[in-house]
Amino acid sequence: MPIPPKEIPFVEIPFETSNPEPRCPCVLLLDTSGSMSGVPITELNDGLRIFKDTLSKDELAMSRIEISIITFGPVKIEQDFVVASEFIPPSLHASDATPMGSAIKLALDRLDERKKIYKENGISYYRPWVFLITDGAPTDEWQSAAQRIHEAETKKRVAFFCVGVEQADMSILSQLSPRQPLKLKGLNFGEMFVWLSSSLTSASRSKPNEDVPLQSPMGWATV
Amino acid sequence: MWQAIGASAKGTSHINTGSPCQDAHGYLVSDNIAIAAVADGLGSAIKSYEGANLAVKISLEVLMKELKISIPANNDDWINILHDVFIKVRECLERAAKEDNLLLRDFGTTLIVAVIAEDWLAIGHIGDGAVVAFFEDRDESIQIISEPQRGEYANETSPITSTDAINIAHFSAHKASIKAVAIFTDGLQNLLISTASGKAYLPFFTPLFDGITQNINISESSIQLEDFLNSARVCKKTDDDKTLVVIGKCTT
Repeated sequence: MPIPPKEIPFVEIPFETSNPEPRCPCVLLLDTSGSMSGVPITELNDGLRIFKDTLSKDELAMSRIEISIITFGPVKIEQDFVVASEFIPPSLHASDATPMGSAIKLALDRLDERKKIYKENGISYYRPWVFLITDGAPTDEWQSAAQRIHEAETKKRVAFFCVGVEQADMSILSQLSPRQPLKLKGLNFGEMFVWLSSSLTSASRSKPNEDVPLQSPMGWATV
Repeated sequence: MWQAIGASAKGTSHINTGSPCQDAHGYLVSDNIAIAAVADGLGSAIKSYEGANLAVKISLEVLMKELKISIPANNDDWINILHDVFIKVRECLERAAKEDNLLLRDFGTTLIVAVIAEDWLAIGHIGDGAVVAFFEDRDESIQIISEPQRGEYANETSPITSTDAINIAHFSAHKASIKAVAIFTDGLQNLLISTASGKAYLPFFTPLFDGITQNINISESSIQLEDFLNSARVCKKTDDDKTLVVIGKCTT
C-alpha cells in the first residue's frame, strides 16, 4: 500500500519573534536660552507632548523610533536615547546663553556612540535624524560644528534639520547644514511636531533603497 | 527526486497602497538538477515589478541552457556560469529599460539564484534575502550559506542594476551533499534569521526541511505555503513582500 503524503506543518510552524526592531534614532537639539522663556518655551513643551501623542498612534513607530533630547543654554542631555514608547516629554525651562556649537558636537558624538551600541547588539538601524530648534544665534564657536554637519551629511551619516523660531539668525542656520533651514510660522510647534512624528514614522518603515517620502513642511514653516 | 515548493505574497504595506507584489520567484526541478531564482524589486524603482520578474525568467533560461551543455565539475566553472547569468540578466534589463525609454535603475531588483546539481550547490546573490542549506555531511547541518547583503542602514541594499553589480554580487560554489535548500527575500529575514546569533532559526527550518525531504503533495504544499505567508501571524511581524522557495531531495 502506498504511504500517504506527509504535510509541512505551515499552520503551526514557529518562526523568530524575539528579534529586536530596527531603530530610527532622532536627537532633538533644543534651544533653552533666556530668549526662549515665557510663551515660546511653553509652546515648545506643549509641542513635545503633541510629538509623543502623535507617535503613540503608530505601534511600529513606537518600538522603532528612539528619541534623545539635548538642550543648549547650558548644554545638557535632558533625555538619553529611549524608544518612543518609553519617552516622557520633559518640562523644559529657559535660561542662560546659546552654546549651539558645543551642543551640535555632543549630538553627533552621541549618535556615533548609539550606532556602535546597535552594531554590537546586531540591531539594524535607519539613518539618524537631528532636529535643531533655535530662536537665536550661537554664543559659542559654531563653524567647526557646521563643518562636522556638512561632513556627516555628505557621508549620509545623519540627516540634519534646522528650524528657526521668531528672531532666529536664519543666515547662520543656512550655513550649519546643507539642508535649507525652515522658519517656524509663529510658534506653531504643535504642527511641526506632528510633521516630525509622521516623517520619522515613514522613515522607520522605509524599505531597501526606498526614498523616505517626506510631506511638505509648508503647514508650519516657511523656507 | 528533487521537489520544490514556492510562493510570493504581497506585503500589507503594498496592499494598503495598491501597488503590486514586487517579489518574484521561479524554479525548475528534475531528477538530478534543481534550479531556483528569487528577486525582490526595489520599492524605489518604478518598474521593479517587471525587473524582478524578468530577472527570474532570464536566470532560469540561461541556467537551463548552460547546464544542458554540461554540469560544471569545479569551482571556477560554476562561478563562470553564475557570472554569465548575472551579466545576461543585466543585459536584458538594459534592453527593457531602453525600450521603455527608462533608466536601468528603474528596473532595480535584488537577485538570488541557486543551483543544486550532482554534489554541488552554487549560488549567485546580490542584495538582501538569504539562502539556508540543509547538509547531509556537515556537523552544523542547517546553516545560512549566503548571507543578506546590506548597507549601513536597514533601508539600504544593492540591486543588480547598480553600476558595479557584478563585483558586489557574491558567487559561491559548495561541493557538498545537499538535502534541502531554502531561499527567501528580505520580507522574511527578520522571521527566519535570529539577529543575536546571526543564525538560521532552527524551529522553523527543521520541520520545513523535514517535510520537503519526504513524500508530500507539491501543489497542496505550495498553496499552504502561500497561506502561511499571507497569515495574520506572519503579517503582524512583516509588512513587506515576502517570498520563500524550498527545494528538497525526496527520500521516501
